[in-house]
Amino acid sequence: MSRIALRFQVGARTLATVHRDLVRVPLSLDDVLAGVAPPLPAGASECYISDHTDIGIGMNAKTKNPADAKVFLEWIGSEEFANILGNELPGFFPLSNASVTLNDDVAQTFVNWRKECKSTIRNSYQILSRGTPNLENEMWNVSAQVINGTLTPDAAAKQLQDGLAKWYAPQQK
Amino acid sequence: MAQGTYLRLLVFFLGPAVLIYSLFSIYPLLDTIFNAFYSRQSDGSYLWNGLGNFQTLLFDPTWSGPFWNALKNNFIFFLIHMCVQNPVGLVLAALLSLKQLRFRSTYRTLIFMPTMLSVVVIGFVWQLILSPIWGIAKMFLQSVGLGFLFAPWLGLESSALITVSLISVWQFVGIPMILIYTALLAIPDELIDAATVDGLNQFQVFIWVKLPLIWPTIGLVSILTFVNNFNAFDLIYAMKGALAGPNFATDIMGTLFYRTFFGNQLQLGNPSMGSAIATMMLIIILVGVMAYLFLVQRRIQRYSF
Repeated sequence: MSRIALRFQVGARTLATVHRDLVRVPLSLDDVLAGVAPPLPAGASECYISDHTDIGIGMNAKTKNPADAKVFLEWIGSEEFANILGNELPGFFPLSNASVTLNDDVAQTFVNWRKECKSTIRNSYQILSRGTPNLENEMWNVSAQVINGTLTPDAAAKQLQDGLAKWYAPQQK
Repeated sequence: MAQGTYLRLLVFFLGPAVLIYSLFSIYPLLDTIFNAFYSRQSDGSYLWNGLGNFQTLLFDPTWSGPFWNALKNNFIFFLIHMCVQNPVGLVLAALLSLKQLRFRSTYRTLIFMPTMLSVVVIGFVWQLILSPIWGIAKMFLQSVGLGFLFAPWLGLESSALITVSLISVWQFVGIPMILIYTALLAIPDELIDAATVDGLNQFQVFIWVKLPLIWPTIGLVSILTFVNNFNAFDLIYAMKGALAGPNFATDIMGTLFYRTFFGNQLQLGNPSMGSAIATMMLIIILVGVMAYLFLVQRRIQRYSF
């Protein structure tokens, strides 16, 4: 599971992320077991789950054993592997499209949210942290300020956007 | 002594020190300055950039904002040490050198103890003490009816830097204390006796006899504080992380350098820009030390007994 416990979102855009060790999420184990999902921002109807789509596994083009590698990769992508990963590594959830059954009730509840919620990326990973100011650093900074109450979520989003616009061509007007 | 023998002895005695010092201190220093004039390209190669890095650092708002913020914070960090750590160290040393004091070595050891502890331990212990969730600072204040005074000092932009500085003061107060204490012990008894016979009380003896004799030591302590504070990094990193929150309120030159040079989380390291910051730190420390040597050190009167 992600290091992130809470996201402030407007539509598909993550405004700020909050680290798991920073906050106590106002959601008890009983809530989760009763099927209570994390609250949506006021006025929002769509929920999003942040997926680690930025991590992948593949085959080296120069491998001497392409056939074996393909067998392995196909198994990694299989329903069987998804179930093994989810059950044997508690806290990690497979991104596979296969239907996954987890033995742990809480974990299964988490996975069920995937059916209702859309998937979103970890936006600061990979490309968006290759410039200055760095999006990940900015997110750490503004999330703490939003929690401290010294910055509004709107101002936080603006700071992130302005930071990106300084160096990331697709976000420059 | 023949010239040849003299040269051979010179090489024999100075050679190893010059070699080691050049290899591990002077070469890295020059290399850092050298690196600051290059810029890293996206393919990983380095191109000559002249003073470009310094121009970016000082005038491009993306870089100059954090730079001036870190420099300002570093000065506040230093001033708090100068105004709290060194006077408290002086007072403690004066008290320790009182003839009537009992348990002298116990006090000395206890006050010096934090200096010997690891910075990581200090940072962790103080974070636990000051934690608004389970810290004993809050419980202690509440138990004596002063709970309203408590605030999450490490988490507020207004107080985080002062709090971290005071923790550093608490840790290092033993250094000025022990240096000044040693200087006080070196003052000959005859001077004190003569002053006492002339009718000075203990406080007057301290102000008019002992203090003038320990000014050189206080000067030394000040310059050590300056150099150490502008090279500081570890306590901030241990307590607030490399992002020196909240909102960079505790960011000093050391943490800014660390983030830039080595990178942080997803931030990529930028060795040439980091070198530019390191060079700026060197210049600041050099200017401070020179100013001290030329303006202060020369005017300090020394006495020999």
